[in-house]
Amino acid sequence: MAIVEMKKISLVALKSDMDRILKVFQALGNVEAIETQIEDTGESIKQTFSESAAKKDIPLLDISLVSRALATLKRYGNKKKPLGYRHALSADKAREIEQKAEVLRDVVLKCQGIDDKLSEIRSGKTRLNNLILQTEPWKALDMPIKEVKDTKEARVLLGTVGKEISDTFERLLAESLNECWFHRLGENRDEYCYILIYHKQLDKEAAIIIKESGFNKTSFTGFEGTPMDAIYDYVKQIEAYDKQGVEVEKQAEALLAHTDDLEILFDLLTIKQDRNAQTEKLIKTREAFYLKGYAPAKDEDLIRRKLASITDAFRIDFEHIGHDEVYPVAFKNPAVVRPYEMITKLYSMPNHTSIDSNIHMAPFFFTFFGIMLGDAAYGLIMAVLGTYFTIKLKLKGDGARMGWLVASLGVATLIWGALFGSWFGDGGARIGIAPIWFDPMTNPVLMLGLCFGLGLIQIFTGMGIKAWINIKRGLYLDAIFDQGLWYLLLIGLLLMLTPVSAVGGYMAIIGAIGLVLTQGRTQKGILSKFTTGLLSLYNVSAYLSDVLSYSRLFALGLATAVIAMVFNQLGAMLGVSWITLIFAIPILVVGHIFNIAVSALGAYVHSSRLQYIEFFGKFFEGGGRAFRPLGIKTKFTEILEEEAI
Amino acid sequence: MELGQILAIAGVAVSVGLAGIGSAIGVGIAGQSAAGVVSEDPDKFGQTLILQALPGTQGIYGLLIGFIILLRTNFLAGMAEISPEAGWMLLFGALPIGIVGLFSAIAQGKASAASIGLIAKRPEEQGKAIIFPAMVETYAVLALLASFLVVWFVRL
Repeated sequence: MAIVEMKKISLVALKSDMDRILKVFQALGNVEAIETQIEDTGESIKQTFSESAAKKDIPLLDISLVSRALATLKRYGNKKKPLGYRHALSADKAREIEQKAEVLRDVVLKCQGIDDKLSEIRSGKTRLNNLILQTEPWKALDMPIKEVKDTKEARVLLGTVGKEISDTFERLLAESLNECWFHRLGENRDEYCYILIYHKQLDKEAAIIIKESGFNKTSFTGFEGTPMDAIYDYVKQIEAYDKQGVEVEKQAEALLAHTDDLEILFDLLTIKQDRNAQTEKLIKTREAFYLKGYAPAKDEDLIRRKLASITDAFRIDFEHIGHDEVYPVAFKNPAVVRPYEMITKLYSMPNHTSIDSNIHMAPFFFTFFGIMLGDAAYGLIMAVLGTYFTIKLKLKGDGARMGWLVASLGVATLIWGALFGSWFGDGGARIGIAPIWFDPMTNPVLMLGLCFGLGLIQIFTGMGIKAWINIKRGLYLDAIFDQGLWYLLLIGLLLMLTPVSAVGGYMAIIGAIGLVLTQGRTQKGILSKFTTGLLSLYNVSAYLSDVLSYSRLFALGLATAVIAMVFNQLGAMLGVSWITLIFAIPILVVGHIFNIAVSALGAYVHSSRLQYIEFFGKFFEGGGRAFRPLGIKTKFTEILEEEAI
Repeated sequence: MELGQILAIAGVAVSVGLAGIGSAIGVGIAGQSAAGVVSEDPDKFGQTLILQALPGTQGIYGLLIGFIILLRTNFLAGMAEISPEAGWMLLFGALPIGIVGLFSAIAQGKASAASIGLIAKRPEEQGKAIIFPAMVETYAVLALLASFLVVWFVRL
């Protein structure tokens, strides 16, 4: 509806109350503190940053450690919780967890130990498996490795040769070394393993062959017996690791009972960490602190009342924000529009001097998505699933917005699908459900007309919003010249296609002349004023292409309908009997699920595009900063009372 | 089999085949980028998958036109008689989505790959990242519309 009016707040209070005050703000969720620097470095204020402000009620526990511990425990069969289950967190429960901090700290450390042990076991096993792979080809060697060494007269070598040159290698050895013996012991993927023995006098000749054939000398470290013995030994070590693994698993299972407490602890720590992050932004002296930030103007009384309920040693000022000052942007919209705020946020937050256009954008997004997906059955499925999961999972914040967006777009799809008579594509038509309005496939001209008509409405709305922004800023002439004259020209051109074409013609001519005369008004010199004005008429083609862009509404709707038809046809080709149903049903189920996924993605992307390019392009002024108040974010719990945090 | 029927089936082949090739290449290009990003940060799987899927629509549009030609020629229940002129028109009607689908899907794949790079650095900008490939798709959508109007209204 509008961008929320903000006030600048500045608060001075006792440091001993700091944590309690921040808790109040966190529970209210409507105060954003900003980084504060002292502008006047007078003697009166001394900062004591060195002092750690956050009391450490739960000592030595790091959030990342807790989250790692939870991940570790999860691997050992966390007991199944119903979907969307959250622990109810009362103040008593929170105190209980805090008292248990020592025990939980122990659990976390144990989990860390388990985790370390597990990665040790894993890397140990990988190492041993690699060793086995390396030793395996040599197992035909039935003498201890330590005895494979040169004798007084003979050279004894172990090594590998690439398979493709092994023939050459063997031939060379047989031809040029008359006193040698070699034997192929085994092979790995692309090499053969050899033992090679020759007289030391032949060193020089042998060296040449070794070099040419790429004979790769192998030496074994880490064992002295036969390769076979070594492999047995490795296997035994792996078994020992496995045994350790079982033991670790038992340890982990013993800790599983603490999972719930750890989850609550995780949330408590997150909340505390968020709060502590705020204290970094404050200016602190020995006894007091100073907080600067923003809060919605309407919450002024509420904040004052809440603060007064915990202490009387404070002073808070709410200041109006000057016209040229930047402040964070928050939206205020009715509940049905709120899910659509996400679409705008994904584009950009509007500038704080601009307007919140969600309420104008939402009906268009709703309509366009509905037309593009355009299938009543799919819409019904989306609406039901979206509603069910949002409620069942007790989604909050952006998650809830997403859920309600899906549900509301499902309703749109249901409406348009029913109007177009599309239920699972032509599934409805096959059993005789007639469209409430018309079938776009048999009447594409009407359908295209509908698309262009909706496009025109949106484009004119966009221009209207821009005119409104201009008027709000007192730029009446801009509103008349930049939007009014274009309205005149465009509506005139449209009327020329109707029976009252004469009226339209006059309107268009007046509009065009007006534009030529006014669009160059910021230019200097008569000539450049005139040419700029004349060239601005070229924008007619931009408006034309904007309108034509809405033909995608039809094309994407068509895509959904025809893909559904393809799968229905596949199903129907099997005929209707009990046996073919067994095959037809999976085809239909999988096919339609695929169609919902692909077509909904397309509908979402192209509805967004129409908003971002065709609609927002007319008026949107981005670059605003979103209001990010201190709040409570939980993953596992539901806070029952404020005192719990 | 007569010429008209052959030309109609050639139309099916052109629309499904060319647009499908384009989508396969486009999705492949985007998939390579996506795999690279996910190897660094597996949590981005969902976001990058959506971007990878975008160049896949041309293949669907191609199938759609091909299916409509099959439907109009009553191919599934013994093909109808089709004059050579009508056959040519069906074939030419299939060309826009075939050719535009082929090239736009590849171009869109490249835009998607770049957007996946954008997601890697700024995951919060998903809205913008999706729009760049979607700009390319506009032309495939227009081609689909042209092809549809031709093959749906050709007098057989």
